[in-house]
Amino acid sequence: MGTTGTDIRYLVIIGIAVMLLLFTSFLLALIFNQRKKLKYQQSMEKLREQQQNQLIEAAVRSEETERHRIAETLHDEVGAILSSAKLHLLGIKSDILDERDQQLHEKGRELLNEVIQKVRGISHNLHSNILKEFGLNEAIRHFIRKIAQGTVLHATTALDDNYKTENPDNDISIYRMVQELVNNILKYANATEFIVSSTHRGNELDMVIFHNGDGLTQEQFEELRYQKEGLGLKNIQNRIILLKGSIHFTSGSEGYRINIHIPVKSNQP
Amino acid sequence: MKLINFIRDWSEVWALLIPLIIILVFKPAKKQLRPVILYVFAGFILNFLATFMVEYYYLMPSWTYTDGYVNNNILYNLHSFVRVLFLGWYIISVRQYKFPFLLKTLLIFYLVFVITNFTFYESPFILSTRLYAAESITLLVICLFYFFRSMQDESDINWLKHPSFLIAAGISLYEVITFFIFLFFYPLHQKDISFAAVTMRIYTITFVVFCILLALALYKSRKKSNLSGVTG
Repeated sequence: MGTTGTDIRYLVIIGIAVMLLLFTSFLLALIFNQRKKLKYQQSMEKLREQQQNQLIEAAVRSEETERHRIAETLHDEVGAILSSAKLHLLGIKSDILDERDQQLHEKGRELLNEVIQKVRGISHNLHSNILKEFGLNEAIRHFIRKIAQGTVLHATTALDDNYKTENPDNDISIYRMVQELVNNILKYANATEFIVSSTHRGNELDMVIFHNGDGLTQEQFEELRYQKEGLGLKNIQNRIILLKGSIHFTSGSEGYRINIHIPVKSNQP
Repeated sequence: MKLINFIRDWSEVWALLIPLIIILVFKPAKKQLRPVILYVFAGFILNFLATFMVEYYYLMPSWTYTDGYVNNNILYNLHSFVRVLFLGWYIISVRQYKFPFLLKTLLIFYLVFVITNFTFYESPFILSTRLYAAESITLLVICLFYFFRSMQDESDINWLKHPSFLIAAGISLYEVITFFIFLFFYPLHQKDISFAAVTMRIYTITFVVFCILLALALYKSRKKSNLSGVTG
């Protein structure tokens, strides 16, 4: 008995159906397998990110602790010794000295005063007392006022006073970043004018540092932060990772702009 | 109606025009995709010639005729051969298989079969159902190996998002459907011509889907610009 047209029709239909079924099963198996793999990779990635954040956090905290220790040593020990030295120096009766010794005595006093001032400055810089007592905005204002004092630099701040501290540790990181960036501008950019401004909206804080000197571009920042000399930039990057924020360097005809975006929702329970 | 007929008659040409446009406009970046690009170009030329011969049969020279009809079967046979060669080459090269020689041997067997078949058994001027069956088996085995390896793969690559997945899925879908259509091509045309016409429509739709998947894979491989900025 020969094969009829209907037989062939069934053969083709059943054949295609079976093949399609097999193909679909394979595809589904692959999809499930890949999803499972992806889920596992995501959990591993999350774990890796957590570990990285913990390491960065530990590094930042130990840096901060070390800063405090140095600031306290400078203030309590070096400062005290210098003050004592000043007292001793003032104890010398200068009127019985000859003119040359009087000049030397005067110069010594001036230098000692200068050293005491410098030590106090460094100690305050390293310590975050103002930050803790008066908040981020006041600490930045104080810092900017201090660095612009006695220079031709025109420095202004336009900080959003709606911002209230949610997490003091985050504020220290933000403050240190501003400090590092402004110090970099002073050291390398030859700027005559700069503005530090901030906007607080919802749970987000946007800081902008604008200056009219020779600043960094995004490409330069990316390049420098991996170099040994770029330790400050590496620290900035670490703090950005820690705060889950972002930093962008842009330039325009008027000058350079650094935009820092930080989510400021409290980390505390 | 005339337009619908035109679209249907030229479907094998415009379907390949989709990946061809993607290649010309978006210029896929990866070197690895070269076999696919070559296939698209070769397939387009062959299908264009085959369709042109049928549509403009009155312009064709007498030697292209067999039994009173213009004969473009050699072009279809050649297309099938080109498909196995280029797409098989692509799928084999995209993955690091444990036994690559197995798949390469399969391709060599296919080549030996093609040469033997057309030298001793069949004329290249008839539509070779054996060739199509061999094409389906060869490409399906290669794709099967690809899917197995993707499942075993422990690397970070998400194969579902990789262009090769779309190509392998397209080839597999095309081959599982056309295998039985071409295996029973002559018996169906002799005994149930109306169903044969239906299978040809199914074949056309499958080919269009296959070309769309190729186009999507090529589009996924286009050059992408880098984002700037540092985020934590």
